[in-house]
Amino acid sequence: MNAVTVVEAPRTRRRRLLRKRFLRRPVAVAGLVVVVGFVVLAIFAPWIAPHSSGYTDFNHVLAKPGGRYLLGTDELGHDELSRVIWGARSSMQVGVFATLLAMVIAVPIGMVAGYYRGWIDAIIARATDVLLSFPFVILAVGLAAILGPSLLNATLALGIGAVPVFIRIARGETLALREEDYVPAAIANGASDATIIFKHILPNMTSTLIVQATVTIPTAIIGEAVLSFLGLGVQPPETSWGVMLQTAQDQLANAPRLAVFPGIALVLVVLAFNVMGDGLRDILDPRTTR
Amino acid sequence: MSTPLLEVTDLSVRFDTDDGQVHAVDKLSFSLAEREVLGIVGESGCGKSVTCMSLVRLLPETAHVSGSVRFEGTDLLTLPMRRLRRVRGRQISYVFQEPMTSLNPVFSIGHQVEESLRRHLDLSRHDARARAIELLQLVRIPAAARRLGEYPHQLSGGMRQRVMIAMALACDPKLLVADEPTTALDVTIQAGILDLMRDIRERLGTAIILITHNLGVVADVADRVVVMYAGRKVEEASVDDLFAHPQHPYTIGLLGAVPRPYEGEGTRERLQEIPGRVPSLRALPTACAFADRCPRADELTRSEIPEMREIRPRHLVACFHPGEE
Repeated sequence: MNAVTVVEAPRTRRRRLLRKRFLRRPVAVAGLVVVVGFVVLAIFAPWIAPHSSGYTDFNHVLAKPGGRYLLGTDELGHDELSRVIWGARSSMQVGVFATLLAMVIAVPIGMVAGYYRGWIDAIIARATDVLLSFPFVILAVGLAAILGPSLLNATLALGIGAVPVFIRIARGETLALREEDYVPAAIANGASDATIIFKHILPNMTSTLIVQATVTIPTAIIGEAVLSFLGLGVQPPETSWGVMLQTAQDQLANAPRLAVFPGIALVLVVLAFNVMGDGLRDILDPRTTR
Repeated sequence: MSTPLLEVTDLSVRFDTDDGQVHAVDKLSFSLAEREVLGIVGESGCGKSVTCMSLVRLLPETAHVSGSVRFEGTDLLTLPMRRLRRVRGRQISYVFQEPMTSLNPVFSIGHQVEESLRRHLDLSRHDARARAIELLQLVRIPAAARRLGEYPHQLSGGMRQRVMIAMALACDPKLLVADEPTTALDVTIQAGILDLMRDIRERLGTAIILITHNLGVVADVADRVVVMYAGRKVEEASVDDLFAHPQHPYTIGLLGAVPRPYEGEGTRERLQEIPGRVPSLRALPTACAFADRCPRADELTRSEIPEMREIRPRHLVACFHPGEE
């Protein structure tokens, strides 16, 4: 199996090159660290959070930060730190799954439109334009209101809300990529339409999709906060940053910290995704990789 | 002569564009025997590329193709798409002009060579890899096993064209169509690629259609030549015959425009150009398309389309006034 190890070398070299280019961007690295941190919090919330999200301590209502509860408690005696950690779980879940859902629905549609063009493209592109004329959050709020409040429905609503953006991107990329010389070369080699779409065009747009995902995930996270704030998302005893912000509203005068902590978490995650996305865009752009 | 490998009869290609029809190829006929190398020469826009694309229906839907293209007796122009796909790449494969962009940038060379092996021959991953190494060696890529894992951007233009040829040869096709395979390459690299083409014919017995505007390339590799002008065949002969006894004034003009720096012992002659420009292909001509540029043109030339005539054995010319200078 000597040949295989030799063969693998350039691929790992390319990976190492990409890693090096990424590591040279400290802001992007910081973003990545924060994102990974929140992902870890989200996955291991049951083990990391000191208390469950529904835990209440009526003897220590509105406790100040420090002491027994690191970030204090809210007016029902919920541990703020635990709630922020559990909130990370809801946010990440919604952000990631809504984005995946949007991609799974939108990318094939967009590619079909871009590849075949003609009437099918006209229909898909115009429908996308119509949907894009609604602000993303309004679309999601409308859908969530129809579907009913729950974390799953919020995910569905936000995922569907993000579909038009991904259709537009997949379509645009396909339109450009189908003109590449390797497409007729593949056709001349006997490739079917499906082979060309999935084996030649899709892999060439992955970097664009990844970069778009780093924009859509934080948008969906904010969207989740908005829906939960409006009572259309996560329901108690489950919690999320939006729910926390909503409950903090009543205590804004005497305990503003209750809004500050989830607010900081939200800003931090969104910012981290964005700077990480910028870094990824820089290193993944094939025009600069050469 | 036994039945030819490829027989093209009355092939016409018409494009419907916004400002009218364009007759890119008009009633073109030629045939190709097994192991034969046919050169198709002509200026840009004379329909060479369109001809070769239409053989396995690679043209966009705006093209109307008529006539017949018989490959081993089957008409490719009416073959159902599913069966045609099995001909493409398996029986007839292509090498295009642009080696820099004809490879998919996100896959390794090995992956791309293996892809058509797996698609057409249903080879296992392991066998496909072994065969891919063989192919890269065949097209004389050094350190073939190591190159398999490299990506297109890591290779030079000449190397990429070799990879393209390796891909084209992957399934041992009967016919290789090479559309200006050397145009985008340096002269030294060109020679290597042409040498490789000759070698392929010798060793694999692959018939080759070589499309080019470079008569030097044709002289180097081809057995027989078809000269095209404005979508029509104007002359066809064996290479030796064509270069020794060109009959059509256009062919004579083309040969006159080839630089010969080593001939004439100091008497540096000015290259002869062909006056005028290629006619528009928008209207179906009613006369010889070359008439406006031809020194021998007369009333007859301007009023009728010349028929193809065999003026010497296996030497066809479409001209009212054929003959050497």
